[in-house]
This record gives sequence, C-alpha cells and structure tokens, in this order.
Amino acid sequence: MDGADVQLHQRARAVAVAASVLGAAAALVPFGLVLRTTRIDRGVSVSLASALGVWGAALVACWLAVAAMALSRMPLRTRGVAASLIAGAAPVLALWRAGAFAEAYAKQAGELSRVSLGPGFWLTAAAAYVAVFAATAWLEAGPLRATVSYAPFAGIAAVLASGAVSGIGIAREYANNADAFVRQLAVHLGYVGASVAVGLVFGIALGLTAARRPSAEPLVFGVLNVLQVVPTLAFIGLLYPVLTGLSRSVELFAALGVRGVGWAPVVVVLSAYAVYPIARNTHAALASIDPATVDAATGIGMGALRRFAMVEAPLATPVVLAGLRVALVQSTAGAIIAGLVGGGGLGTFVFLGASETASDLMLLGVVPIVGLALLFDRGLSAIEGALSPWKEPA
Amino acid sequence: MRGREDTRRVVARWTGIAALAGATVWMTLDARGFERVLRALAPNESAWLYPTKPLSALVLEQVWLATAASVLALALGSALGTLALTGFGVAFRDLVLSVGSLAQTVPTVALMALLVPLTGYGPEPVVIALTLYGVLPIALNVIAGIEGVPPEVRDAAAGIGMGRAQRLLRVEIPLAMPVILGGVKNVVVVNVSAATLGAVVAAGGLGMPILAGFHDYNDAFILEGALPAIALALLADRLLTVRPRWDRG
Repeated sequence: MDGADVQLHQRARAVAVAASVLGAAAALVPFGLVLRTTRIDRGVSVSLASALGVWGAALVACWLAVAAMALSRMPLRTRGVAASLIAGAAPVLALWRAGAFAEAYAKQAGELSRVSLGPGFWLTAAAAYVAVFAATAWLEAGPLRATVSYAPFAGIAAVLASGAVSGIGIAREYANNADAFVRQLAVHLGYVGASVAVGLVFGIALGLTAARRPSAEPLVFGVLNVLQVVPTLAFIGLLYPVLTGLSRSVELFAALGVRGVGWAPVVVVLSAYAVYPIARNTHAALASIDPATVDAATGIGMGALRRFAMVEAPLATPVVLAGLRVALVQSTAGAIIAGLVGGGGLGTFVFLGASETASDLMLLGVVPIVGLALLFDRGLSAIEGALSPWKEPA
Repeated sequence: MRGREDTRRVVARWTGIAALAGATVWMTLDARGFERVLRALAPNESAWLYPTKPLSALVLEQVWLATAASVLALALGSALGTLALTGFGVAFRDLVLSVGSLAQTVPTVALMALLVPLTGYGPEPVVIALTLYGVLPIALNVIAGIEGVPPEVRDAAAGIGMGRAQRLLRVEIPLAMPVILGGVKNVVVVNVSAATLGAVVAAGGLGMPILAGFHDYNDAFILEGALPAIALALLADRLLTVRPRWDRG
C-alpha cells in the first residue's frame, strides 16, 4: 500500500464519522415521521428515535457503531464490510419499524390517518449513502465491494416486498393508485424511450457531420445550444399554437392525438434536449481519435467504411454512451413536465399531489423518477466501463 | 487575418446580446406594442394580455427568483468547493463529486413541490430548490478549475515565497476562473430557465401566463409568457458565455 492509499483511507475515516453524526442527528430531529389524521392534514411530527421505541435506540446505536469502527484500528477489509453493512442497515431498519409504527397508529387514530416518512427518514437514507460511500473506500474494487454497496437496496426491496410497510403514506397512495401507477410508469418510460431514440439518431448524425465537416460545427452546436437553453415550459408554450394548427389542418396528426398539449409537445421538447449531449460527445469522441491511429488503419489497407466500423466506432462508443447516459437521466427527470400539460407520466402524481399538498402522492411520482434515473446512470456507467478496457476501472 | 475574424466574432456576439436585451426590454415596457404583436399572432382570442399581473411585474419576479438563487448558490458553492480542496475538507472531495452527479436525477420542479409542505406556497420553495440544485455544480467547477492549475505554476508561486492562502487567491483562483465562470454560467442559465416553473408553486414569474394560457386555451397568454422567458434565458446564456482572455488570439 503506498502513501496515497493511506491518505485515502484516513480521509474516508473523516467522511464516515461525519455521516454517523448526520445519521444520529437524523434519528433525533423532531421531524422523522409525520402523523396525519387525514392524507392532506398538515400533521404532527415526531422523531424516529422516539416513535420507534427500542428500535429507535437501535438506530442511534447503528450510527455510534459506524463511528466507532471508522475510528478503530480494525483491519481495513473487516472494517469496510462491517461499517457499510451497518450503515446500510439503518434506513432499512427505520423503514421496517416505521411500517409497524404506522399500523399501530392507524388502529388508534382511524383508517383515514396516515404516517408519512419525514425529512428525518430521508436524511437517514442520505447519511447511509455517505457512510457506505466512505466505508467502501476501505475495500478493493471487486465483487465484495459491489455486494456491500448494493446490499441496502436489496434490504429496502425486501422490506417493501414483505408488505411490512403497507401502512406508510406513500405505500397507501400506491395501493390506492396501483393501476394508474403502472400505466403512468409505462407512459413515462415511453417518453424517455422515444426522446432518447430521436436524440440518438439526430445526435449521432449531427455529431458525425460536425466532426467530418468542421465548417458545419458552429452552426450545429449553435442551434443545439439555443434549444438547450429554452425553458421547458416556454418551449411547450411555443409549440402550442403550432401543434394546435397542425392537428386542425392535417387529419393524420389529429388521428394520432397530436394536440397543443398532451404527448406531442412533450416528445418534441424532450427529444430536442436529448440531441445535444449525444451530438456533443459523438463530435468530441471522433475529434479526439489520434490521427496516427486512423493513418495506421489506412496503412494496413482499410477502406473508409471498414476503418469507421472497426477502428473509429469502437473507440468512440464509450464516449457516445456517456452522452446517451446524460440524455437518459435528463429525459427521465424532464418527463415530469408531461404531468403538468396533460401528457400523463409519473409527473401526474407529483402535480396532483402538489395541488392537494399531499406529500405522499408527490413522492409516489418523485421516488420512482429518481430511482429510474439512478438505474440508467449506474447501468450505462457499467457498460461504458466494460467497453473501454484500456481505461482503469473507476 | 486572425484579428479580423476576432473582431467579427465580438461584433456578432454583442449584436446578439443587444438584440435579445432590446427585445426583452421592449416586451416588458411597451405593453400596448407587445399586445399588438400577440394580437397578430393569435387573432382569434378575445384577450391578449394576462389580466392578473402586468408583464413588467412578471419579468421582475422571474429575474429576482433567478438572481436570489444564483447568488446563494454561488456563495455556498464556492465556499464548499474551496473547503473541499483545503485541509480537513479534502476528505469530502470525492463525496462532493459523487453527490454532484446524483443530485441531477431529482427534477427541479419536484424539489419545489416537495418543499411546499415545509415552506408554504410562494417564492421560498423556488429559491431554496434552485439554490440546492446550483450549489454542487458550482462546487464541482471550483474543484475542477483549481485542480486544473498546472503544478509547475503552483510550484513557481510557492518558489517566489507565496503562502497557501496567497497562492489560492492570487494564482489558483484567477487561473481557474474560466472553468469556475463556466459553472456559474450553467447555473445562472438553468435558474433563469427554471424560474418559469415557479408558477407551479405560485411563486410568480413568467410561468404564470403560460399556465393560465394552457388552462384557458389562450394562445396569446402562453406566448406572452413564453417569448420573454426564452429571450431572458438566451440573454443570460449569451452574456455569460465568455472565452478566457488568453484564448482570444
């Protein structure tokens, strides 16, 4: 182990201790869970530690254990595994016991009552993220580190699947809207898929054009940059008269359901935003290929087409995928706007919840959006890594 | 030759800025004139100007929301970025980088809506959400900019007897400025754009006539909000797109 590594491990120690302090504070702050008599009641807040009784004490103990381990002289491997598993267990424990608490509260306060996860719970999750991030720095990259990093997600999934949390507000909203949820999730994914597909086609075409003909570069990126800057709501607004006119004058469009609001403007706007990162990265990837590599390919007798397929495209693919990843995350978050302009998707729950100040309903839309975006981000990062074997794994 | 092309680029840039600024000011101040344009664009409506508030007030609200959030994000972000490079804070550098990419997965408007139960409706959730959203990109660019300063330059500064703080203030930050300003530009442009969404939580701004237009199927209200919102966002983008002094030939 060299000096830089030792320094890294000591840094991780400070971060893990800070995370433990944040976690313990999150358990003790007086807004861990929100108790409401109806779903739109403002409610009363209590701390996780007090609501969960003896399990609340266990939650605080988890964080003390993480801090103690971080400061201990335990072997790095044991310390890394134990600290990340315990930190990762904290939000799972909080969620599971909050479920039990919600059921008990419903018996006492009636069927209409709700227990919502408050800022204290989300801070617990954030502290766990930070602590696991720090503690896994003590482990070598590999299957063990991946397993302990993703163990908390498996724990959360298990608690959700067990039905132990069906009394919590967001789960109750899900139960009330299960059919609509599945439908809107599919619509949301449809927006992401459609806009990214359009983004890929135009992005790669425009990126290639700009790389092959430098004189076209300022025009291509000038236009794409302007599109990128236009505010989403204003963009949809600008399309409104255009699309309304189109659907009135062209029967095919009317039959397809193209209107000034609804799915059509959402797909156009998200597609326009998705082109830029893909075009940018395609251009950058091709421009950064060493001319000597291209010369070498020509030298061994490759034609332009074979050179592109066998040399340039494989070298450019990881960078283009990085652009695709940005576009995917951007579209997943951006498709929320469809809920505001009658286009459906997960944003429907967010804006309906916002108009009723029903936080649980908003979360029913936001949590899956963030989950999907993270999934796309991590998934494509892994693929990029696998496709660039000449790079050190991050 | 080079000088001539450069002059042309500067002239083009400032012509664009002047046109956008002129358009924004004109739409804001000459309500009658702008109404005539809207009337021509949407001849079938019976009203062309959003009745609740004059456009000048809406533009001011939009600018105020974006400015407040940008100033706060700039202050907090540069403090966080500088801290992450010095002494104890170094431990948190990788974490800031990791969370920075994570935060982009939360839609801005969702954050605004989720803050409403805590802050109530109005400008507060918008300013808080946009500030939170802008802090990390600024911190990331401060880190990237300062780390990008060549080690030889740093050594030279130390060699002529500069201390740590003096080196940071007089050498590293000035050299990192183009990268830092790039981050500032992105955050300000995103804020000017996203302030439009403040209408969802009743914070005012140019989203108000747009939403009212969707609600009443009134093209003119939509355009009354959309055109100045686009002009403002483009203006912010053009104004803040600067190339470093040593890259100007």
